[in-house]
Amino acid sequence: MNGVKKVIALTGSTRGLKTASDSMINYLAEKLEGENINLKKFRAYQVFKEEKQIESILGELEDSELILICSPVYVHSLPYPLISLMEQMAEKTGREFWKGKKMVAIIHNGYPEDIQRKAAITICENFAHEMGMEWLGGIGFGGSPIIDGRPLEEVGGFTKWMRKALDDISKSIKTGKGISEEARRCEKKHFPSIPLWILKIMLNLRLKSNARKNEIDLYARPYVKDREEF
Amino acid sequence: MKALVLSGLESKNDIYAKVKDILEVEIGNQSYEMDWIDLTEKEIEYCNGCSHCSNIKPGLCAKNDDMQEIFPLMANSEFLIFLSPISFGGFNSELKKAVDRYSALGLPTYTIHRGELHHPPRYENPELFMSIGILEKENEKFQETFKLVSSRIAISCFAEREATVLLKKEQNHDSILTELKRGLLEMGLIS
Repeated sequence: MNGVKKVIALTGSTRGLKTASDSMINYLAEKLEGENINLKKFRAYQVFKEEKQIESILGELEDSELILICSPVYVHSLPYPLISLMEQMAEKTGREFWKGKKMVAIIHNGYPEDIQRKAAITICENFAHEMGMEWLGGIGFGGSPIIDGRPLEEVGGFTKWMRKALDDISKSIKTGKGISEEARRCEKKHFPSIPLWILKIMLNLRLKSNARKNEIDLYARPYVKDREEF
Repeated sequence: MKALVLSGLESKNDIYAKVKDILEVEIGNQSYEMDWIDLTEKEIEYCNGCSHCSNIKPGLCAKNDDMQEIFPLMANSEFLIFLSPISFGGFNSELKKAVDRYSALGLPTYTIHRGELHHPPRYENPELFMSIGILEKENEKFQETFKLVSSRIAISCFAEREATVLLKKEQNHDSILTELKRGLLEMGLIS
């Protein structure tokens, strides 16, 4: 039996309309549409300062069965607009409002290591438990800046395992079950196994070459020169 | 030596004055000059990941708001203290609005630090980093998460020593003093 008919997705990215979070949510929305599940997306940064907008999200949440958070990691946590939105939603509602709802989180950033996403996923889990929702699990992906807001299929091989994981998550959403072992397996395979020292050299070469081309000083210290001079 | 407290705690909270008084004395006793920033009173925009501070004018944040007066303090503190009510295990939004802007204080380049990929600090790294979390009520999961967030940030800002202090909203002066002293002891600041 399909218990989920409507999903509310909250994205945490503050970078505009074409972000990795949007790419992932759009991919999932398409999968869910095929299952007659309606996904409505809200970008936290566009709504968190507006009382009316928050009320409107809560209105949409009222008859939805699942909340999906898709966000980049900002300093080992969720971005400020998303945290603020979650705080305000919690303030305006009680556990009764969230009763029977489920939650999933997709957390991403550029880093290859899972530990760099762990705290942000745990904060989502805590929110779900605090509100009395059923936590279906969180999944994390590194290297997300490569996506650059493009459709995941267009990115190509790099998103192969991410797409497989999301395919599986769409099934979890449909059945209202937790994130499967298969999705976890895809999550583990997502980031290519490159030694950190090679990755570091590759990333730094690109940064330094761009800096030379654009004549910028990567090492500038605009706020102060030295601690002693402060 | 400079210590900087970034506080996401509203001053109307009972615990606010107690923590502030104790920190002023205890940190002052260790020859630190302490700056205290009440973020609830600051106009700070959210970081929109515009890359200005990494790719356009490295180190300089494009947003012309109150962070411009906080950045130099952050860049020049040997001791960094984050104070916040615990929000779902992490920092609350008041503190987070400033913390999210931290990337201007890091280099865009990468290094391997403690076996992980990180952005090195643009300025001298803080020697000490302390997070103080205020719990509304007992919550083991929130406490664990807060410790995780704090230790991750300590690694990211390349702090040499770190401590996490967990306090409860209704705690009295003496027990707050004990906990804060435990944190300072953990960092080797007091013996």
